[in-house]
Amino acid sequence: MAVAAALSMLAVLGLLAFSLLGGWELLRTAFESASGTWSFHPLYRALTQHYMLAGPLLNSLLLAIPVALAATLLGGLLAWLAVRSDLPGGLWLLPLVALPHVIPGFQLASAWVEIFSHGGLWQAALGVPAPMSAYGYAAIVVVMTLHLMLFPFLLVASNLQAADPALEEAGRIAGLTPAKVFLRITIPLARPALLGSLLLVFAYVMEEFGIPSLLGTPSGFETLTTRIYGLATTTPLDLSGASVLALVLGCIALGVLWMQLRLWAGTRLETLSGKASRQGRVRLGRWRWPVAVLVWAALCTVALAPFGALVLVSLLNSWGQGYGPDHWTGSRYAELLHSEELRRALRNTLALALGSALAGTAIAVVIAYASQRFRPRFVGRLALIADRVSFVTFAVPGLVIGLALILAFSGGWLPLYGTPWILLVAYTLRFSGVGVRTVAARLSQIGVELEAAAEVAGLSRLRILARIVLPLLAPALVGSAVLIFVNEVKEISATSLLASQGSETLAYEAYIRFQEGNYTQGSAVSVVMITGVIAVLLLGRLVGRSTQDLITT
Amino acid sequence: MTTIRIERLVKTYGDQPVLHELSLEVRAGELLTLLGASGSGKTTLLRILAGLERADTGRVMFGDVVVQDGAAFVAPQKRGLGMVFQNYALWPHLDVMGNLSLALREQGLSKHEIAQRVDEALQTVGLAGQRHRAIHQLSGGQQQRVALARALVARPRVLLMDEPLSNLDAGLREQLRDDIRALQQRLGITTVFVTHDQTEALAISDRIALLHQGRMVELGAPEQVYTRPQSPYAAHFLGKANVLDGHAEADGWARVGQTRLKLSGSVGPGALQILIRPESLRWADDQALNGVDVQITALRMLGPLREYVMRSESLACSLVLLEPSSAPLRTGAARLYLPPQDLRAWARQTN
Repeated sequence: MAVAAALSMLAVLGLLAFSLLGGWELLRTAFESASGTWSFHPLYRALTQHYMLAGPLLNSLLLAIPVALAATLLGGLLAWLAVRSDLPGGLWLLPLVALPHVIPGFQLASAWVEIFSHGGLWQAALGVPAPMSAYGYAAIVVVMTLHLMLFPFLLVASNLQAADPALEEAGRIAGLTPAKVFLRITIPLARPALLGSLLLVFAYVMEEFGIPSLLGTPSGFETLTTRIYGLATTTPLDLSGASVLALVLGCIALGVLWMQLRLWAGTRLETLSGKASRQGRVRLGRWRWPVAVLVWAALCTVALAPFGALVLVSLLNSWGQGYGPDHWTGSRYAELLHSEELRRALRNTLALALGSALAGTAIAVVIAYASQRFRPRFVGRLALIADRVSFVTFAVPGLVIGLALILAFSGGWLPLYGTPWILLVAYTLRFSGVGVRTVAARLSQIGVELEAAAEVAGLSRLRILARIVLPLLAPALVGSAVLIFVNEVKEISATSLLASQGSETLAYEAYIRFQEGNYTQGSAVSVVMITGVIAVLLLGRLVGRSTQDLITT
Repeated sequence: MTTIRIERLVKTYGDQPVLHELSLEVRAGELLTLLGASGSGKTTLLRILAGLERADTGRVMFGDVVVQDGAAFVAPQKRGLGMVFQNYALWPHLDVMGNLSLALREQGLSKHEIAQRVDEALQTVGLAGQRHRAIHQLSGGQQQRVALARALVARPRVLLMDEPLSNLDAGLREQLRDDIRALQQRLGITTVFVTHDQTEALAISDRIALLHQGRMVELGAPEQVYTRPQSPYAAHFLGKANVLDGHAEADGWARVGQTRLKLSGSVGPGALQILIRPESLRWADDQALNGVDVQITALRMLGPLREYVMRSESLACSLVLLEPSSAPLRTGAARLYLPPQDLRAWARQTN
């Protein structure tokens, strides 16, 4: 008991300390003059110089708003087709929508370049120049929409599945045509999911770094994230300017988070209740097959073409010299085994992914358990705060966390910067929120009386934890660890600032190669990473399901 | 006033038959209850009437209008229906006014007319002045009344109700049942009411159609189907019954155990199943005809009624009798009279 409480305190305090310290350092640097005194000069500079704040902020918003709308529209429509229409094979839409999200954004962007750039795959295959530029605003909008469509799809699909079909049938009885039922009833009922999707996609676009840095920066299109990266990495460094921008970006993220929380609080009141009778699917009638062909062809293309491009380019002797089999080689993959740099990156990635998955899940268990079971006590209240903080650090963009950690831990009393440890801290801060959500949701379904029964049977608190609570939590633990693991492998925005000589991850190596124009090696690393991520996700599902079965049977 | 004619409806889900050539006529202005266990096809039949599902073959007519016949199909929104759903299906994103006015706006009525019709409908169901309440602020009973008002507000030709009372507490259920019945009689609207609760069906209906495995096994007024059911299934479904196994003898007599019982009519030869309702059994002192000696083995107080459980050696079975609890209490040995007109006999199915 005492041990558990002490552990809880330690984990919770650690999370709080790192977050507070990072936040404080950001604030301090943003309001510091060259001579080290308090000053509004950096803020003034950022506000008055267009290239610093106004330009990138405007660009970020010009991306975020159309992408949020397009992803919500497309994802929502696909969700409706999958869940509520008689589209052939509707259930199989999910993996196709998920694939462009499983591929890290910067790799999706690189695949885009490989297809649409001058002399790229499009031109090679069709003999005509690509219909649109590989770089710039339009390219970023399209790639981001494909990358983020999954969120609206999932949110709207679960909303539609929860809604009682009788609500739509009642509309038919009231005299509405199917089209009017869709407009007057289906869409208004899905409103919370649609608004939630808009906010979520908006937040993800604002914090996305990989896609704009590969598709925007080369054509001079800078967003808040790429500008922060530029200020913090190109000499002369402007850390105070970067901090101002990071604070602006952080505030936007927290503002969106606040709106999301308000939205969720509001939707809980709505009664979508009622046991859904038989789920009546809308007949598409004569549109069924044309729609099916269109949707399937489009989705297969956008889901499979990027991965296909990466695979093909990874096999080439050199980029841009021809794509036929006589240009193929396996040496990029051999390089993965032989290059000391890449082998180290693989080791780092696995060690950091495992480490952050374990640490993040452990912290999640402690926070979730303490905040739900020790609520009236001090530990419980502290854990509740840590629960909220983990939510915030998840919502805050990776670049902001990266910058805060650089400021807090380069030199000083704890010089973590330059070691892999700072990456572990960054990933744990970024993703333990994912774990807390997963574990807390499951824990709240486990009745307190199960533990009370064990207590009555004479088990000590620690044994109850080991014998009752953890086994029941198993599916959530697996889920949490898998999610953190995968997110770590894909992470690039905090990594781009924090990785240093010797602590590079695979994602970082791939990113650097794409940035340098070494598409063949970058693609090979990407293919290995994507395959690994998919394997871990599938394995997680398998293990998660079998532990679930263990408990339910 | 609309008559509904249902002719030879067939519906199958996959290879699972749900309705077998079902024919039925709902008379203009009557409340007809489709009664049956789950899986009997009653809800499917209602949904076919609503146009929410299509029959494979067969014909449905509302008055002179064919709403379904083979390929001919009138969409639900053109059928002029009102419907109350099991879980009310009130639109949570609209308030009471929004729920009631949607159909009226669709008909293109003026704002003034809509307000008037909505108020009228709310008055009818006893919710006057509740126009601007949100749905989640209403109690279960109020939601049910709003659902009823929504079904009536467009002045439908036909009212369909799918187990509208099953989500309510017992007391409220009876009150709303009686309110629905009174309202339906006042408006004279042709109504099809689906339920699995035989008490509800008996209390509310002009006629009851009992469905069993996709076939109609009984059709008639509540009085008739309860007291003179046409099949043992109907007799059992509509209420408690004592079952006696016997054999037919000549001239409308039957032998049960060591006793001969006089039946009300003549029955064919062979094994018989004889049913009598608990409240039809009488105490007898010296009845020669259909008298049986019994031993009272248990007694239950049910509030207004008292239930005796008895063992009869000569009939070789147990019997249950119901009588008002104001009657004098009996114990030990007694003699029963089984009135011939209340004994219903069928040839026993040998399977």
